[in-house]
Amino acid sequence: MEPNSPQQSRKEILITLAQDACKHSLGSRERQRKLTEMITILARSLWRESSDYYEDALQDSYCFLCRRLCDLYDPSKASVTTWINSHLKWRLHSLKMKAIAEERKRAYVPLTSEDGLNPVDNIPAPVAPEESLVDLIRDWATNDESGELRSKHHKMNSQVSCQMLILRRLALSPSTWNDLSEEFGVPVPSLSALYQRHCVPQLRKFIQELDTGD
Amino acid sequence: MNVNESCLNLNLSPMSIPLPLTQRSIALANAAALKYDSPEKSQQIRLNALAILVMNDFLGWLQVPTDVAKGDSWGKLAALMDTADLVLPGLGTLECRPIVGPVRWNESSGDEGHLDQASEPTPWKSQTAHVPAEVWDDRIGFVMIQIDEEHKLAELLGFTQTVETEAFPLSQLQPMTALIDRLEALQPKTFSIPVLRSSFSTLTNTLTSTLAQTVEPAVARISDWFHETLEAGWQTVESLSLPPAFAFRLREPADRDASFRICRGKVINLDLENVMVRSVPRQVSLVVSIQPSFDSADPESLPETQVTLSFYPTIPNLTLPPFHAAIRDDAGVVHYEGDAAAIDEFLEFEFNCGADEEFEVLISGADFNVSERFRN
Repeated sequence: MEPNSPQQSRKEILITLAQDACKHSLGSRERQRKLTEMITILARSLWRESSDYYEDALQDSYCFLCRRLCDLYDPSKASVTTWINSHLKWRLHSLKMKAIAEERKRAYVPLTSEDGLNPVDNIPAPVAPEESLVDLIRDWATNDESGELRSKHHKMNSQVSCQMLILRRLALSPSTWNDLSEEFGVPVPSLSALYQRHCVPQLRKFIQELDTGD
Repeated sequence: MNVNESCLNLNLSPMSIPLPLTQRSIALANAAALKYDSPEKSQQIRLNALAILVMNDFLGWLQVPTDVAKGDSWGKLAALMDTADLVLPGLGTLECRPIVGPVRWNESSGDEGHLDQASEPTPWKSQTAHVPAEVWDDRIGFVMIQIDEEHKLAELLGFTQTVETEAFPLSQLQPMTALIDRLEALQPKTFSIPVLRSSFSTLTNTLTSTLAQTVEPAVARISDWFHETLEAGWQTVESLSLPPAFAFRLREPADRDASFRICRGKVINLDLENVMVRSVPRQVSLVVSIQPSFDSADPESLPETQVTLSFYPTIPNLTLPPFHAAIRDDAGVVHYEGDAAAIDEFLEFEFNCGADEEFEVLISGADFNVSERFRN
């Protein structure tokens, strides 16, 4: 955050930031920076209440701030805080009205015809526990039929291969990265890089093949 | 119902950004967690998902494109790794590390809400964020996010570009604006290229009527390209001899982001009778690059495809032959147009295309009319 003179109030800082933000185009880094600073301040000064839809209304208000600041906000009429607060309160009110309407509807409609408004209803049933996947991966890594997992190894130490890293990380009592680093004398960042760049793509490929039923 | 501000002791750091955990984020995170039996894994998945979704919302407000579903945290790989990755197409992967438990901000640094710019921020008391080594690499940066499920609050604590310890000291975090700086540094360098965005009202194209009668060409289905389809007549860009300017532009997003962007090209003969005129080829290479474009702030919106059409000379180090290019929709309305002059190294158009939308590229000169049709 840029230093502001101590005399400048939060209200003035916000107006300055708003004006600065709008000097730059939508989606520009400069505007994003100013909006980030504005949200940092606003997050501490906006209206608060404890209602079920407060978070959603607040999310909507930040979105409104970022999208409409430059075409709707008029500093001569209100401070940024007042402007966003009025949107927030309007949003809270409309969500409350919507919730009341839903409640009324619910009272008359049999539960069986719930129309999937609750996203949790769309959740697929739990799939097989991850252990079975871990078993499959363990077998695949142990066998390493193509030899690819063994061939991808640290340049100084061939023991430090993708095969070893995957098996050790998926063991029932997994080795920590620090353990592995000490055991093989390879710094953790090197292990991490090897894992991310060479082992994860192999894992991803294997899982993909499982999914497509190969 | 209303809570007096002073009653909520949020204990915020001056640079952090407290944000709401929306019902949608909570439901999605719970759904992701349900897939796992073990309570520890389930909790890890839920927290990672919350951190990602909050960050996704925040970036959405700022109009930073994200591809939230692309991350490993939602797939089976998450069973094996502790990752909270958020993909920013064209830029890289941002790791969103959740932190639970109270992060105590030293209260002497000013009461909540009061931004005391004069005093140096006091660091968190020796608190750290757990960042497993398996996610140190291949990240454009890390955002630490404190998750307070009870208060439905997520606090963006700050940003760091690199992590080299599994216990990252929170005192080393930079404010969230540092993330924007990072994105700026990653932004592909822009040439002074003619990216043409003429407005819909400036339709003064006489070509539209003259070309309306041309033979219906084959329609290239660009959405299929995402499935690695190589359509007849189209080549991978590697097989075209493109000038260095293109190679430079292609290199820009790190190599791993090639997966977000599909490029196909073809050589277009402008003049079927004369391949060369005064040793200048009467051909252009048309490169079409597509990538999914999401409006992350509006989850209901349909995904679009961002299309970049670029014309290059077929022989590197030469300039384009002069021609007029126009892009029109299936109703014949021209949306974009521009001219390549003999001094231009390339000509480029960028626009978004909705699902199943069609567009046609018309290339014309004094004695030629060629067109290519596309459908998303």
